Amino acid sequence: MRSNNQSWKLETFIDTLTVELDKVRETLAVKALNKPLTYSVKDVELELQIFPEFDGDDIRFLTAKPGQQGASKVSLQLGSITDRQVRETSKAPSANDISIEEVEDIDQETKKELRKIGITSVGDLKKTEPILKKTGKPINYNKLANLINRSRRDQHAPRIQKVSLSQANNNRLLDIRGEYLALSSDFTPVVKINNKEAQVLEASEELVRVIIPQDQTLSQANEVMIAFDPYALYTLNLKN
Amino acid sequence: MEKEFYQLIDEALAPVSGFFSDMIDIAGELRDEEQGLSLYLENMSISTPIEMDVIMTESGEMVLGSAPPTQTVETSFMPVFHQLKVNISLEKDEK
Repeated sequence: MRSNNQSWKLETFIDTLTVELDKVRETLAVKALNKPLTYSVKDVELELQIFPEFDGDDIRFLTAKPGQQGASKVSLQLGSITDRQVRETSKAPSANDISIEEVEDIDQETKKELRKIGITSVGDLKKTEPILKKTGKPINYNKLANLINRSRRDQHAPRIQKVSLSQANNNRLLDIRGEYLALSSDFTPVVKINNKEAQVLEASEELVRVIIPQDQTLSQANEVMIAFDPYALYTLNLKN
Repeated sequence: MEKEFYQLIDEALAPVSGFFSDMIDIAGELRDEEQGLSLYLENMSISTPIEMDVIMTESGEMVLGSAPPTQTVETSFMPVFHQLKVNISLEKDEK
């Protein structure tokens, strides 16, 4: 008999057991084609003899082996779940949301902490952040929000398609058009024309409209620096 | 790869999926053609002690093996018996 009895996590056990039960279902699906009566496992109740261990972070279990005394019992009940129940209890990820797992800059420890409290996406985090701050969970939410915003920016880098000059109400306007320009509602883009700050009149995903300062003379070559947000800085060289 | 993992299971035990598949491989129908009677099994509940192998591979995969008790005569070291209860029911054709 093997002696390398290694501890395991309950989550891994349930996942493995579920995969095994799925295989049973697949076998049955084939059998159902040939047999008039087929049976399926509706629910499973398993009482395991185990020794729990706590390493200060995770609870792990060791399966009791012959001769070992004093094992604890853990009882698991797995019920079958219908497609309808899956739909009712699962949230469909929205197109604009980002899974926490996809944000590479978040370390595994933080991802784990977030998963524990049911946060799996950036949308979840936004909804629950005010409450979480009060609970004093050891997570740096500001840093996290920055990482997420940067990740979002990485996925949707600004694309400038057209820059044009126009005149309105005695103001000279610089229109920068494109896609994914000003994504953050918390940050107004900052624009500098030839190193002089210009007022941003309008900022959206498709358009950033800037008032060229009255005393600003446009030379033949002009440098326009645009910070759409802290993660997207662009420099344009415009010829007059 | 999967077969390789299953080879780690004690030879007296089977992969859990195989164990369950065997358990529900039931004919299910009782027919008396002389009498013109036919009965079929609709639900069944099985409660049994089982032996179980929970193996963690070096790559962090878990392999589960199980079987009904391989030993019933009490000796100085009895296998550990976990308790399993399975409810099985007839798959109804919903077409």
